[in-house]
Amino acid sequence: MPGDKARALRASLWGPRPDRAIQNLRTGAELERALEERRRRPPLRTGLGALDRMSDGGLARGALVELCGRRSSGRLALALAALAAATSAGEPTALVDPAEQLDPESARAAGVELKRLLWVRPGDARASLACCGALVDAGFALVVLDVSELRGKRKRVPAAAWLRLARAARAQEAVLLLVSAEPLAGTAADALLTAEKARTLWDRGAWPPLLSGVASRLSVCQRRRLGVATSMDTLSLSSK
Amino acid sequence: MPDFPLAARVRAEPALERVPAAVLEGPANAPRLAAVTLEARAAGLRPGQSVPQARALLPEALLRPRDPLAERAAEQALREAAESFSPRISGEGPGLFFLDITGEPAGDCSLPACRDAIASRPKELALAEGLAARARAAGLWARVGVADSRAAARAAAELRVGAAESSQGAPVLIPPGGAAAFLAPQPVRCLHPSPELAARLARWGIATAGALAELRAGDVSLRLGPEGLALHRAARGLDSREFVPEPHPTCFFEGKGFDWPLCELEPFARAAGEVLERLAARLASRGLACRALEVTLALDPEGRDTRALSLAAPTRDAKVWLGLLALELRRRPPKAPVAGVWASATPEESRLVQLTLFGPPAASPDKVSTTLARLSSHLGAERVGTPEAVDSHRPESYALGRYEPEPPSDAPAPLEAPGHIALRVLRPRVALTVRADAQGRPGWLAGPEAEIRGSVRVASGPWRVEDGWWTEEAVCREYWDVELSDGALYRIFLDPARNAWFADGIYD
Repeated sequence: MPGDKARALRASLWGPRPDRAIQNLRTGAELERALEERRRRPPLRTGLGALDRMSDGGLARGALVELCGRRSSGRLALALAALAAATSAGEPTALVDPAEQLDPESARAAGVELKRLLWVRPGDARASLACCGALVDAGFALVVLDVSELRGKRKRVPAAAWLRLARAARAQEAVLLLVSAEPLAGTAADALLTAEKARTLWDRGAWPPLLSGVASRLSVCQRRRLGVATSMDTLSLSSK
Repeated sequence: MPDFPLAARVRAEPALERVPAAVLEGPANAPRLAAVTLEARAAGLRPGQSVPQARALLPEALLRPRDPLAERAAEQALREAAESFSPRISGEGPGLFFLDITGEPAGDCSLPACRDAIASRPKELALAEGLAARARAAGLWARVGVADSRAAARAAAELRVGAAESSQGAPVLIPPGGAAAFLAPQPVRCLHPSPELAARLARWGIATAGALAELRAGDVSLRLGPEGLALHRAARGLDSREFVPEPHPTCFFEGKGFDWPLCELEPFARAAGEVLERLAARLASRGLACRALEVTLALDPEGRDTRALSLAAPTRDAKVWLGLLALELRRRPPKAPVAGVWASATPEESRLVQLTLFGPPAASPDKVSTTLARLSSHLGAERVGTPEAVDSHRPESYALGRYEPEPPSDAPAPLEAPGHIALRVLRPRVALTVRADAQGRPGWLAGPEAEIRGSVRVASGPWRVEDGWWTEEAVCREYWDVELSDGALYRIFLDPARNAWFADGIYD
C-alpha cells in the first residue's frame, strides 16, 4: 500500500520525534554496510559444530577474536581446531607462541596440517604483537596469538597496540585469534569467546582411570554495530 | 667495456660519474692515472699522467685507487647481463665478453651501410640494444659490437666516441662475411697486438688491418711466429681458435673497498647496504633469491673476517640481509677496522606457486619469504619454522622445519572435526614438590609459583617411559595425568634416578 508507506515516512520524518527519524537514517547506512560485509568472504569455519553455530558460521574474517579461559578449559583445543580447519582448507596460518608451548603431536592429532603451519616463538608479548602484525600484512588468513601462559612483565602490552592489530586484521580480512587467560584486547576485539571447564571426563572402566577429555562451556559475545549478541553452549573435547 | 677499472669504480660509487675523476694504478709511491672520466679528459687529464701532473692540471679532480672487489663484482654483473641473452659466453679480459649468437647472410659491409644492415636485421639490433640496456641497468655502460669474428666484434664495439659512424652506447652491427672488409681500413692496434709486434708492424709500414691481411700467411708465420699468424687471421676476419663457452658461476658476488678503514657500524652499514642492494638487484634480474649469504670483511691492515648468514626462507630483500648482518656484527664485532666488504650469495630459484582460481586466496610467496626472513633476522632462525613431530619416546621432543607449504588445493575442507583436548608442553619443565602415598601415587603437589598447587583429585598412571638408555642422556620417567582441586589437568612425571618430580604439560 503505497499511500500507507508515504504516510508512515512522513510521520517518521516530520512527526513529534524527528530526532528518532534521524537516528533511523543512520541505522539505514549501517545496514548498507552490514550487507556489504556479508557479500565478502564467508567466515572461517572451525569444524566444531557448537562454536560455528554460535558465531554465525565461524570466525569472522577481518576480526580480532579473543578466546579466554583458565587452564584446562579447552582454549588451546579450540585454537588448534581453528588451525586444523584453516590448514585443511589450504589457508596460510600461523601460530605466534611466545611461551613455546605447542606440542606438535597434539596439533597433529587435532587435525592440523603441520606443513602449512608457521610456528613463531618471540620472547614476549610486545614482540609477539609485532610478529602478528607482520604476518597479517603478509597475507596469512589465520594468525593465532597464544599469550595465555605469559606472566609478569612479558605480558605487558599497551592498549593501543590491540587497536592497531585489529585494524590490520580488518584491512587484510584476516582472522586474528587471541588466546589468553583473561580479556586483554578490550573494545579492540570484535568477539569474545569464553571457555570454562564444566567437568573432566575420566574413563573409570579401566584401572588406572584414563583421561578421556573435558566438557567445556563456551560462551560467545559478539560486538556488532547494532548491539551485542551473546550465546552459550557446551562442547566436549576428547583425548582421542 | 671501455676503461673497465673506472667503470667498476663508478658503479660502486655513482657520484663519480659526472665529476672529473680518475682511477690510479701502479706502485703505491708513484701511481699513475689508469683511466679518466669524460669531464676529467675535457680538463686535460690523460691516462699515464702522474698524480702531481693531474693535480697541477685539475686540483679538484677525484683520484681513486683501483678497487679489485668492485672490479670483480662489475665483471660478474656484466657477465650476468650477457648471460641473459646467450648461455654461451667467453670472458677474454677485464670487462670483455664474447657471446655466441647466430647471424644472417652478408650484405654491404662498409660502415655507413652497417646502419642499413641494422635496419634490415632487427633481431640482432634488438639483441645488441637489449644487452646494452641490461648492462646499463646493472650500472655499467657497455659498448656492443656484433660480427662473425671476435676481432671484428671487438673492433666494432671499441669504435671511438665521437666518430661519425657510432656513438657511445649505440651497437655496431657488421653483416656476416663482412668482418674483413670492416677491419681493412682500421688501424692495426684495433686487433690488440702485443707492443713488440705492433712496433715491428709499424717499422714495416703496416698501418692497417687490411695491409696485414694482404700478406701471405706463410710469410707472416715465418717472420712473426704464432702470434703474428693469429693476428693475420684476425685481420682477415677469422678466429684463430674455437669459441669455448665458460661454465655458469654458481654464486653471485658483490663487493666494495673503502677509501679508509671504518670503525663504526653506521657508516659501514651504509656502504654494506649499497653492496647488498646491487646483489639483490642482480638476483632479481634473474628471478632468483638467496637463503645463504656469506659476507667477508677485509680488515685493516690485513686479515679477513667471514660471517655466514642463513635465512629461514629465500629472499632478495637487501634490508633483511642488512638487518641480519648488523645483528651479527653487534653480537660479534670485528677485531679490527674494516677496509672492504664483499658478499657472496648462493642463489636459489624463487618458489613458483600456481595459485588456484577457485580455492582460498593464498599469501604471495615473495611476501611470505620476505616476512619470514625479517622474522628470523629479528628473532633468530631457530624460532621461526614449521613444527615437526619427532619419532622419540620423549614426549617434549620436537623439530623445526622450513616453512614451505604446498599450494592450496580445490578439495573441500572437512565439515565437522572431532574436538580433541590439547596438551601445552612446559618448556622448560617445572620442578614440583609432591607428597605421594605409600604406592607412590601423588596426593598433593606444588610448583615454584602459586599456579600449580593443590591436592590431587584424580591421578592416572604411572606409565614408564625410557629412551636413549645406550647414551649418556638416558631418560627414565614415570608419567602421571593428574587433576588438581582447582580443576586444572597436568602431565607430571617422576625421575626415579633423582627422585624428583616435574610437570611438563598442561591439558588445555
